[in-house]
Amino acid sequence: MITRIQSNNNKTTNFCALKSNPIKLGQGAQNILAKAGDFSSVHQRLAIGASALLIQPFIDLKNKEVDKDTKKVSAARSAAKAIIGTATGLVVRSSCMKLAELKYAQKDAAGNIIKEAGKIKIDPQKVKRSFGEGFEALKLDEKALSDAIKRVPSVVGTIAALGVMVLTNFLIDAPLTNLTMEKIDKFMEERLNSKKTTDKTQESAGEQNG
Amino acid sequence: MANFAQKIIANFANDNAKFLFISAAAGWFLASSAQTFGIVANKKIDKEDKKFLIPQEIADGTANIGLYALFTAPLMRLTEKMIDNGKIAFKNVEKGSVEFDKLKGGARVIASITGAIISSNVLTPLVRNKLGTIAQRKALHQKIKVTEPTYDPYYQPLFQKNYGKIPLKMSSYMSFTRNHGMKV
Repeated sequence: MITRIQSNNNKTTNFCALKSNPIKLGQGAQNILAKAGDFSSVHQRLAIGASALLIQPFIDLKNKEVDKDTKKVSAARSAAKAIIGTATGLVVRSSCMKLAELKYAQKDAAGNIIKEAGKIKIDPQKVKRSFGEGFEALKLDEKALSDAIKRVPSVVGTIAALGVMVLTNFLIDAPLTNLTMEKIDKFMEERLNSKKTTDKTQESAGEQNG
Repeated sequence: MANFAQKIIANFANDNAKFLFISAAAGWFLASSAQTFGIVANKKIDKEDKKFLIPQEIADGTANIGLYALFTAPLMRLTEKMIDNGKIAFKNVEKGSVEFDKLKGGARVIASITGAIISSNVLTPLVRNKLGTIAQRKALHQKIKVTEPTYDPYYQPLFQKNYGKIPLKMSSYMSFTRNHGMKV
């Protein structure tokens, strides 16, 4: 990205003339960006949750402040927290978004929902009936308006999910996390105790042989 | 009110990156509030512990959302600026076209998600550990104070009996101890 430009005498670098070249994105990267524009909060939660599952236990295992056993327990706890938090978040978000999609779905004469490439087709008229004034104020061109209308169920579903998650935090997330933590603590304690007992037995056997 | 809600939804649907940024912050705010309320409502936790746990939870939530906003918003702005300046260039896409805006929107979404990943998985745990250590030290210090109150001669019954509630000076305290045959 940085170009080194030689000065006139060709021996030293002219730092004032250092200039950065633009990053030229290839077709593959552009395809990803085009898709990313329509990412929903489900994709976002999945990305945050998956990275938490990879990074946080690793940070716990590298913690120099605590002993080896504590490292293992805290890493297991972080992994469990990431899995439960992500799973609950994904289920609530995708359910709310599905309900919003069904609300704004386009139906045929028989009342069946129309699908396009496996996805529910959104009825622009239904969306405009609910949020027409808002879209009019934005004065979007046809393509941008069509894209924005397609994203409405994702927005409405996510906002509804935020409300639902206040309840699920108490009713599902917290009790499930506590229960899992207790089980993990118990499992790790038993495992570590059995390991210590085995080590002691081996030590005493070694002393007797010696 | 209905018009305001319509404008908000339409705005969010048009600017997906902004919506994802705000909804993640709102989600963390609600989760943190729920957790704080959980501590307030929990009868198993005694009042003294609540005095430490509630501010700690609020500080934790504030650090989480604050770091997210402080890191992600500039990252999104930087991405947008780099695209506008031409530092990030697209192939066969004209600047200002609908396709260009769509790709720019996608890049801002990626920046928003990247910011959330880095702030919540790297920056927040680091700051939380530091804050946790400070809070733990403070709690320990406070507990020592509660169990072993520091010596305050002003409120010693003998001293009060003879001298009343006069402000304590070293000279009066010394004369008080001499009067009662005490050694300091």
